[in-house]
Order: sequence, then C-alpha cells, then structure tokens
Amino acid sequence: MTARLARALIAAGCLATAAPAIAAPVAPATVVEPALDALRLEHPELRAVRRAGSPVPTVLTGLAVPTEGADAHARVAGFLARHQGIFGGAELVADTIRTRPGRTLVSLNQTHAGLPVLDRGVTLVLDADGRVVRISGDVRPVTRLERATIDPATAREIAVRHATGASLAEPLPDVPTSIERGIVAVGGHGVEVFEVEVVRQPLAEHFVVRIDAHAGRVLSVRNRVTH
Amino acid sequence: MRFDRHIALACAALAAFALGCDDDANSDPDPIVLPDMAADPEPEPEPEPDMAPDMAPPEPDMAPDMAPPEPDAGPVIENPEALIYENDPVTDEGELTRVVLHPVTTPNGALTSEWVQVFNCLNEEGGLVAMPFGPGVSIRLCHEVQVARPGPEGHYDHIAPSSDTDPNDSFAELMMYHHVNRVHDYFKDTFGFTDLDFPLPALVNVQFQVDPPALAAGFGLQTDEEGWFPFDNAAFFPKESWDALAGQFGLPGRDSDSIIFFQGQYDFAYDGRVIYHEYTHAVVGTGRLQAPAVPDEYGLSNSAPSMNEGLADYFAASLSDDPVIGAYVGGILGLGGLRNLAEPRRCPDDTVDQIHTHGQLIGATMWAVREEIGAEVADGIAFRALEQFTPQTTHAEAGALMLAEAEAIGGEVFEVVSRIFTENGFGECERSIAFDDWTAMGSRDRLPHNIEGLQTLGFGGYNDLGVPAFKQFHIDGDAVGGAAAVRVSWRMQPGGQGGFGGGGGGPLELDLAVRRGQPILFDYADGVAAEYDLVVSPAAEDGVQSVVFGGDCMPAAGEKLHTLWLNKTDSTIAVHAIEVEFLDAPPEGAITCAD
Repeated sequence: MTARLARALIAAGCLATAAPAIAAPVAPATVVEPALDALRLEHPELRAVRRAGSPVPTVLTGLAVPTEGADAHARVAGFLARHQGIFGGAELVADTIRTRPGRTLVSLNQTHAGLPVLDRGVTLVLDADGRVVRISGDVRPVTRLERATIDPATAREIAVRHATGASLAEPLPDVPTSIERGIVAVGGHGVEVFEVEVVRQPLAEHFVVRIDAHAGRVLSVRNRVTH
Repeated sequence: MRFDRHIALACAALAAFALGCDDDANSDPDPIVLPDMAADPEPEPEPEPDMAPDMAPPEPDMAPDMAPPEPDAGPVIENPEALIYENDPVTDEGELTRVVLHPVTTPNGALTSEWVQVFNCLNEEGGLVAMPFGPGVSIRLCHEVQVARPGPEGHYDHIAPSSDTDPNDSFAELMMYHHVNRVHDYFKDTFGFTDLDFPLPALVNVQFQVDPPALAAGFGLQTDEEGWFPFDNAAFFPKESWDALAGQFGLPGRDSDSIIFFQGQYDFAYDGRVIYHEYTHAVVGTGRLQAPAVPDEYGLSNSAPSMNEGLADYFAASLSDDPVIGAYVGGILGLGGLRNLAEPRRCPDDTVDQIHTHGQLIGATMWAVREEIGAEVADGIAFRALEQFTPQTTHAEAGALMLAEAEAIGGEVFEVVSRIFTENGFGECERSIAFDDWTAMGSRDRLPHNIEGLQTLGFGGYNDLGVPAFKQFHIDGDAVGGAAAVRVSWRMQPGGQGGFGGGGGGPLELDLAVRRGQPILFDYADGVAAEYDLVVSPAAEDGVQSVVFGGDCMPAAGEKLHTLWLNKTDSTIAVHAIEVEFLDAPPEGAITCAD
C-alpha cells in the first residue's frame, strides 16, 4: 500500500495522525444511525450485524455503493469521506490492499491518539466496478482512555518475570525481548498497553505478554507462534 | 515457581497443532471426579470412529540416515522427480508415489522454488542460543541448513523415508518442498491468491538442545544424552517474531513469515495435511482471526482463533479430499487421526474451549456444505469470506459473510448453506448448554471447561463482575420432573499452561451468575454490563464448589435457569467435572431467585 492510501485518507479527513488526542468526544449512536439510514435509502437490501451494545455494525451486506477514483485508494478515500459515520467517527489508518479476481479488498486498522487500537480493523470489498459491496470489521471510537503510568523498561521487567517465573529476588533473566505500545479497548473504553514478546524457546515459544500500562499488571500471555 | 517452569516446558512440548496444553486449554491427564462421584468408573477413552488405522511402527531400517550432501551432487534439471507420500505414511499405507517436483531455483539443487525455501535443522552446533532461565542453562536451536540435493540423474528419488524419530533426515525436506508447492498452487490457481508468491521459509526436523543436558530433567524434559529435546509440533511463525529474535543475535531479519515443523516421536513434515494446515495459517496471516477472546452478548467468544484453526483444517481436508486431519501424527495421542471433519459439530452442544477442537464447528460445517455443493463452490465461499475477516471476527459475523458469498453465487447455493448453518448452529447460536453429570476425561474431546482469569484474558473491564466463561450452562425445566431443588457441583483445577501464564497458585473459586428464562446477556455500551437475576459465590473446598437452587429458581417445564461462571481470580480455572443432583426437598440454605 500504503503511503498513497494514507495520503488519500488524510485528504479525506478520515485518517488518524500522530496528534496526541486523548478522547474522541463522539456519541457513536447519534452518528451511526443517520449514516446507516442514508445508506439504507439507496440500498434497501442493506443488512447489518452488530455486537451487544455497539451502535457500529460489524458486518454490512446487501450494498452496492458506487465510488469514484482512479484506483482502489481513491475510491476508498471517497467512500469514507461520504460515509465515515457508519464507523462512529473511529480513526482509521490504511493497512493493506489485496487484489483478487473480480474484487479488491481494502483493510484499515483503528488508531487512537497516535497508537494502534489492537485487534480492531475493518475491511471493505470493492467489486469489479469499484462498488463497495461489503464491509466487515470491529471498530468503534475510543471515548475514554486510561493513559500509561509505567515506562517500557518497567513493562519489560514485569513481562520477563511473569514469563520466566523469576521472582523479584532473582536477577532478571537475559532473554530476547521486543516491545510494542498500543491500546486495548472494550467498547469505547481504552487502556494503554505494552506488548512484550519474550522468547523462551526460539521458534516454539514466543510469548507475547500484554501489560496494562495504566495499572502495571499483566493482562494476558499468548504464544505468538500459531500451532 | 519452579513447578510452573517444569510444567510450562512440558506442556510446551505437548501443546500443539494437536490437542494439548494450549494457551487456552488444558489436557490434564488425570481423570477427576467429585467427592461421591466415583461410583461409576471413568469410561475408557474410545477410539474415534471412522478414523484411519493407527500408524504401524516404522521399520527401523527403512532407509539410512541422509548423508551430508555430496560435493558432486547431481545436475539441476527442469522436471526433477521424487518419491513422496501423497498424504502421509498411514493414509498411503506406506506406499510412496512418484511425482514431478517444481523446478528448483538454486544452482546446487537445494530445495528452493519460487514458492518455498526448505531448510533442514540439524542437531549440531550453529543454531541460536537463548538463556531464558538465567546463566547456567541455555536452550540451543538446531542448525538451519539446506541438505537435500539431486541424485546423479538430477532426480531426488534416492531420498527415502527414514525412521519417525530421525532428527536430520532429508525426506522431511522433500515432503515439505512438494506439499508447500502444491498448496501454494492450490490457493493461487483457485482463488488468485498471490500474497505468498515468494519462497516461504519452511523448517523441518526442528529440535532444541538443553545445555547442560543434566539439567533437562530438572525442567521436566526427557532429552537424549546430548540434551536434544524431541518436540511434537508444527507451527506458523510470524515474521515479527523472527525479527524480534534475530535482532537480539545480530542476525538479519526475514522478509516473511515462516512455517516450522518439529521433530519428536513423529516427523510432522511426513503428514501432508499438517503442512497444508500450517500453510493455511500463513494464508490467514497475522492480521485476521488473532484475538484470543472477544466480548459478546453471552460473555466471551473464542470464535476468532477457533476459526483460524478450523479453516486451516478445512482447506487441508478439502485439498486432500479427505476429512481426516493428522492421520499420521495423531499416533502421538493413540488416535487414528486428530480430527475428522465428517463428524458433525454443532453449537451450542459441541462448544469446546480448546481452539483446535472448537475449530471443528466451522470445519465440520463447511465440510457438510462441501458434501452437498462440491469442493469448488464450498472452498470459494470459505476463502472469499475469510479474506474479509478481521482480528476479532466472530462466528456470527463469519456466518453472515459466508451467507453473503453464497447468496452472490445463487439462490440454490444460499438455501443449502443457510440450511446447514442452521442445522449446525453456525452463526446464530444461543451459547448455553444443559447441565448434566459430566467429566472432562469422559467427554467426547476429553477437555475441561476453561474460565479465563483477570491476568489471562488480554483486556480489562471485568474486575467487578469477574471474567465470564466462554459458554453458559442451564437447568432445563423439562428435565426437572417433580424435583423441588437441584444441586450443581463442580470440581476445578488450575488452568492455563499447567500454572504458567497466570494459571495456578491462586484460589480455585468461581462465582455463578443466574438468570431465569433467558441467558445472561452482556452489553458493552459503556464498559461491561450484564443482565442477570443474582450472582452466587459458593464456598470452595478442595477445589469443589456446590450450589443448591430451589423455590422460584426451579424452572417450570419449557423454561430454563441459565447460569454463567465468573472468574475474579488472576488465573485461568479449569472445570474438570460437574455433578447434577435433583432433590425432593430444598435443603436449608437453598438459593431462591428472589433472594
């Protein structure tokens, strides 16, 4: 992709920037329903799947929304400019574009305050004529954010001790690690996190320890290696 | 702490492609019964029906170990041939098939094509070394090297199967080379999938060495005298993890993900469908179906990682035109196969918390669709929907996308797919199962119910209520008869990886949310909220909790009393046994829903 699409989305006013926004004072329900109603007027076959308590649909089918633009980048930017309300004002950043026979899939990830909102993204399907025919994803604005109170070094130590079982009385084991920062959100409530990858057995056990950077506690451990 | 380490390492060895101590599952070997539940002996696990026969013991002298590559290896030719298992040693009954390999792109005949670069991983010095437990104990990775070379005529048919446990054999390289090229061509030619149009790194015979070997036993590992640890597993390995690892050792990064095949009691590269399964994980990638749990209306859903596994099984089975997955490597567990997609799986009754097992819901459902409308149409529906999935896609969302794909094909296809989805409860499903006497070891999959903890879930919001289980249980009014009360008891053990990752060490106690008439329903409009009548916190003794419902809690015929376990501890708790007892009269202290 992605720089080109990113520029297009910035131009459309839909793309998150590195600006340190803390909250998005958006009332999603008041934004989403009018946007869906507008789509439904033109596409009465529209069907929406929602999760409990979320005004933002996770699947939209029954669409055939014409778009304009020289390529998928421009078409998606144009679509988002006109219909961004269906995502409740969530900040989106372009990820990948995949071209398949008869369709193009454009994926975007959610961001907030310049950080990725982990595990949240949306995919738009364009048919051969460039119409948006399907939307799937799980984005929703972060309206409340718990900021980090620990630094990456502290997060790393918490993660390594948790993954290796080393007590505070023991020296910190010298294991390979890497660290990333992001946001984990439930509904509109987000928490800054650090994800520390701890290598216990090369190629077999690469544990990602997710640390709540606000409370300084472990949220989960998972093996990044998918068996 | 030390106990945790031991178990974690042992479970890492078992945790697997197959069934095992996965991140979100447990396979404690000890059958557990509640006090006073031992009257009926645990049933012996029965072999899965319709599976392939157990693997015959390999002949120890089937072939000599692969010799190091000869300096005068044969020429590189355009259409080299080889003898391989089309499926695996069990399905093929030991018969090899002559195939034409994809041409290699290396000048020396090493097994690299446009689509795969196969490395052996030899048990010798030269691999990466990590010291995860501090100075004094190192974990050494085997040495990556391409060993296989063509014979004098430019073919590879001189490379024969070795013993199951050979840690350096080149037949594993050959199997990997052929089957990755085959599955690559399937995805590209069938769906126009070009994302993996590069030589995907693929490792075979991977093992670890514990140094010094004498300390291996202290970690619960059985190694050979040199400390090499056999590892029964196969995996999809993300690029980001390689970069994280390589960066620590000053090694170059990799441009792509990899697939890794380990060498244990069995050579996982000998099983073609395991190769297809892991390759499908690479197709899914790191951007889809990754969220371990997603909050939904019934509490928590593990649909996403389950569907990652289930679709990996489905495409492996469909490409092979055989619903059995792991016919060869299933021998580890004494099974003829790990999973059989021809066996129906339905929601909610077959909702299992272990993701490989739960993946059979989508795998078996799509196999049933395939049986009615054919592989080409069914595969297309599954693949095109998969491409629209995101990290948190749920069964309901996957079902909607698949139905949309079916509808785009035509009304007849839509009707068939819709009917099968409804029959299997795929997509729309009230995730509540009737309480009944139950033990993990006596159950179909021999797996416990897992309730994640505050430090295993991956996100917050449940501190007040507790982390909900992946499914609810109910007391069915039609089963109550004339009983005036019902006692429900359950036995618990630490969950997670035998104590690692937040499991173990904490209290074994669960709360139980209760609601008459309807399931407990969650809402995430503003934080975590749930609709229920009451939450009970029964006393726990020796890992057992018990509640008695009476009075207006007793459901009338046609009604249900729904319940949901809630975990306020940090660790995963596994429920290994449930007992339900109907009583003629409510004992003192019986819970009524008006309380």
